[in-house]
Amino acid sequence: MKVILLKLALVIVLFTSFAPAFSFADTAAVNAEQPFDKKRLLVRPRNADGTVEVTPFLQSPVLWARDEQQNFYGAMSRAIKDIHGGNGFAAAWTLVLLSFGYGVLHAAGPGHGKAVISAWLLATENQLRRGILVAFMSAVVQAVTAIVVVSSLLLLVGGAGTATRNAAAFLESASFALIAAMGAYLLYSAFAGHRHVAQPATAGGQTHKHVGHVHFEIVNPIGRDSHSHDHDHGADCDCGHAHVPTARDVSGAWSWRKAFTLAFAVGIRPCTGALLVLVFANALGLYWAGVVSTFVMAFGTFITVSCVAAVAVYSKQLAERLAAGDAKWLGRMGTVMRFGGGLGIMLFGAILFMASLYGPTGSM
Amino acid sequence: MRLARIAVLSVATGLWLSASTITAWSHPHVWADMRSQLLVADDGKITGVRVEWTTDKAYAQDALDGLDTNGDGIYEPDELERLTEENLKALAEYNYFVAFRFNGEVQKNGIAKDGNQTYNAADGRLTLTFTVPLETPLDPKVGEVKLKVYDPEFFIDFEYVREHPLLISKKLTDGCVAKLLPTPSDASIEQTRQLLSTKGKDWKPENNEDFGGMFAQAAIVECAK
Repeated sequence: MKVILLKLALVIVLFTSFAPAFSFADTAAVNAEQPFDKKRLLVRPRNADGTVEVTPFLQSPVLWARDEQQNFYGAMSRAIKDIHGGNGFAAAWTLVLLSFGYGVLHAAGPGHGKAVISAWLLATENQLRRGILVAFMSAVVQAVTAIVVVSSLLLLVGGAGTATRNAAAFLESASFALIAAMGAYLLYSAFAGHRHVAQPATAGGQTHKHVGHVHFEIVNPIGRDSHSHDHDHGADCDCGHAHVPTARDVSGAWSWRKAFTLAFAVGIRPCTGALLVLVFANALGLYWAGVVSTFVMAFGTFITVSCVAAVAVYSKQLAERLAAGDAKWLGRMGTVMRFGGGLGIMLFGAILFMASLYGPTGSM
Repeated sequence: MRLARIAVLSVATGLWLSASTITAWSHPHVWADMRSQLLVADDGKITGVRVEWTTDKAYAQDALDGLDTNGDGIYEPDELERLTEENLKALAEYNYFVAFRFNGEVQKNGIAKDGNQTYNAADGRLTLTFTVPLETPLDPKVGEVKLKVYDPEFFIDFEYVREHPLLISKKLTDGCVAKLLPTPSDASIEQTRQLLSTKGKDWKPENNEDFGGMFAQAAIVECAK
């Protein structure tokens, strides 16, 4: 879960990193009727749009933070204005593309039922195309789950917000707060994971204790003990795997019932990346683009999962090697990045949240 | 798998960092070679300054991009008019980088006027000329008139040209002379730096001076008593 969250956070980060680009794309179009292009000026106008000279960090970290925050928020609101002003297609397209790339890369990590689908294919000696079909079904289920979860959440929050103040502004603030909360969770799980690593790993999975981290259990549609998974938790336990039925649960001849069971088991746990993309798209007033992105992301994960399934079928050995853990230093590096990423996303969300409360939200 | 995650993280971190600094790159720093012409009234009072700033090529490229509306390859005055106008409007927020002092007292500038801009195709640079009037004309016979043209934030690096950096619009009263004080020497800059290092973070230069002003080259008008 935490790994997925972290990577999800990256999507936000990626997404926000192109937000300032809108203002440049916009200014590049020279039109006599449009406001004067500020890049032409000798100095930066210090006016309402909030662009100011950034104080160097070493000179005054406090002023630097203030200036950067102001400029960042300015870039965000310009991006949002562009979106509302008809430039939304570019933004939406970028979001969709990023989501696709994310989906492909993300599915290479734990989860998404790769192991299950591959094992199922091997155990049942089913045809590869059936495994690919299940992968596709589970990706779609996952996308739909994410959309249902976020939509109901937003409706709930929006309903509570309309009574007191502008619903859109409220939703925006809520979205940013949610992003901050996810960052905080990431940070927490990085700490928890760290402690967890410090525990000596016991041989085998049976006496393995889940110390300090939260497992998001899913309701196992097959009704078996979901903890009977047969893998080892290594010293650097990823714990990002979904608890899904084992291959044996669905062994036997091909049937649509079994295929659906597998697809739901894998897909019912929404992909955190999709959740974040939806929340973020909503904050930008691009919810429809978030929905499209979610499906495109699912398509990306489907491609990767299918590839892994294909590898499993054609080379069992290769698949095992791919699934094996990496070197220890990589694990440590991952831990460090988890801390940094969590902290970054939390601060990022907090800044946007504060800015949305005190900033010029009304003008957007 | 973890490698992929790390790769994504690195790319994202890089993008994020560049996003946070992109605002700092969006405008290049500007270098300007300048002349200042002190405006002298019939009674010998200083009424303001007409500045001439020749900025660097990079700025001209940014500023001119797409302004040749009739596409003849020449930037006619009417094609540059809006640029001049908008620049003066924006510069007003910065007090035109023109700081007059009378016996050390900061003087107020009026609204800039008579802006003009020319493009020199030979060296690819723009020259902006405009007049900054003083709200109250200053009498150099009564006190010392000092002018500094500088950007306190060093976003624009102003430097006087070698030939005729300081001009006067009319002959000054007999006994009065306008001159450019020497650029601060390395030694004096080092001295200032040492001085600053002994001061606390709340310290400010005296007489409403700012840090940039401590390093700027001053023009003065003095009259023999």
